[in-house]
Amino acid sequence: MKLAILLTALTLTVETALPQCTVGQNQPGPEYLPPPYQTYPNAWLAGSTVPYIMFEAEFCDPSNNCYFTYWPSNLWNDYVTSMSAYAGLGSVYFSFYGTSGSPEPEQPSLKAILVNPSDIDNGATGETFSGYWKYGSTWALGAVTHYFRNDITVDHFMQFVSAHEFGHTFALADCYSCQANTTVMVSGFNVPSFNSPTGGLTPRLATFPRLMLRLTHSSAPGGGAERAG
Amino acid sequence: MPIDSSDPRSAGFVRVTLMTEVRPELPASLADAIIVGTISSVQPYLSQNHTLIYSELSVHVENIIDQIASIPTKTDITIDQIGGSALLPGGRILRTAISGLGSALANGGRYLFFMKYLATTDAYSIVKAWDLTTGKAKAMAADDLGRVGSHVSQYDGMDAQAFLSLASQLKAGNTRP
Repeated sequence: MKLAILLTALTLTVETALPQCTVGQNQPGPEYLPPPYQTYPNAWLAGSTVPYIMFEAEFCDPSNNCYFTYWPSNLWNDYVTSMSAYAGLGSVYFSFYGTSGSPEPEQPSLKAILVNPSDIDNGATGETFSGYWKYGSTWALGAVTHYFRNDITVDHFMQFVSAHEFGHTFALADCYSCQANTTVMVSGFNVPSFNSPTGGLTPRLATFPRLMLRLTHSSAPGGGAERAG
Repeated sequence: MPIDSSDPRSAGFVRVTLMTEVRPELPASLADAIIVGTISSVQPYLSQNHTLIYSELSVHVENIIDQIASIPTKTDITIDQIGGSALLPGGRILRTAISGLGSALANGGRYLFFMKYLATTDAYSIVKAWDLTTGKAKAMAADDLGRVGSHVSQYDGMDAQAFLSLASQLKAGNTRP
């Protein structure tokens, strides 16, 4: 009884202290794997260490048009900064693998590439390709590739886009009804303009994904990123 | 990892999520062609590097509202779009699911398309589409769905004929008034 009262009090405290967190209004919903694996969160396997590659070599698009791609140091730092906001969630960590090659067929793995705008589908600023892999009896993310437009120059915007794309690997869905300054998972009409000097990412939001994730998945059926896989 | 890998631990599907830019509701200046048409067939295919499924949409052109001069005029055109499902001869299904683009196009649906032309493949890619299938203009793109949610869409829900009457004034490309 005392425990129930205490939990209720804690819940009320959280809701009172954080009235801005409402799923579907200013908080993204959970994202699951596509059917028929929809009971599994769209996230890395809990407890895994993900080797990541900052790809700097000849890049070939699906039509086999090839060119050299590299990471300017500021954008590299922006990407790693966003990554660090998620490190440790679900005991998932990232380890630098190198600037070329691939750890595949080992899974999971992450590759980040800056590409020509024409090589991102439908004029997107960021794109995540998520492959899925069976670990024992559990499905979770396998090989993931992040594409970003190589004409991004503003650090805030790069941090915002990368934080958004990382969110997709921690079971956070796009939020079309979220306001621009409430979560990095904003999509559609509320996405900051390309190369926005503030990138929609206020200093407070740099740590916000962590909070959003916990609240989102505390009530999600089948668990969430903190119990990924 | 190829999507058609025979490794039993590979799911055979890829999800692609995109963060798209906010565009005008009627992005004529971003398009090479503005066309009204109906999707007559959908053919999935595997990308050359075997990592993704794309779909080739055949569109029967009802009306070319405007297009830049270099595009050949045809009654049937092809749109290449990322995403789709393919059934392999052995019964295995490969899929590429897309999120972040908004509503999916449907075979048999009637649409107003704003498109880019790709001369190398004689095909189009979609800048934005509006669904006209139900007789009313229905927003499809992610940014327009956001406008609808924020009650600031100028065109969603408009009678399709009135909507097309407005659209008929549009000029493709940004080099003309």
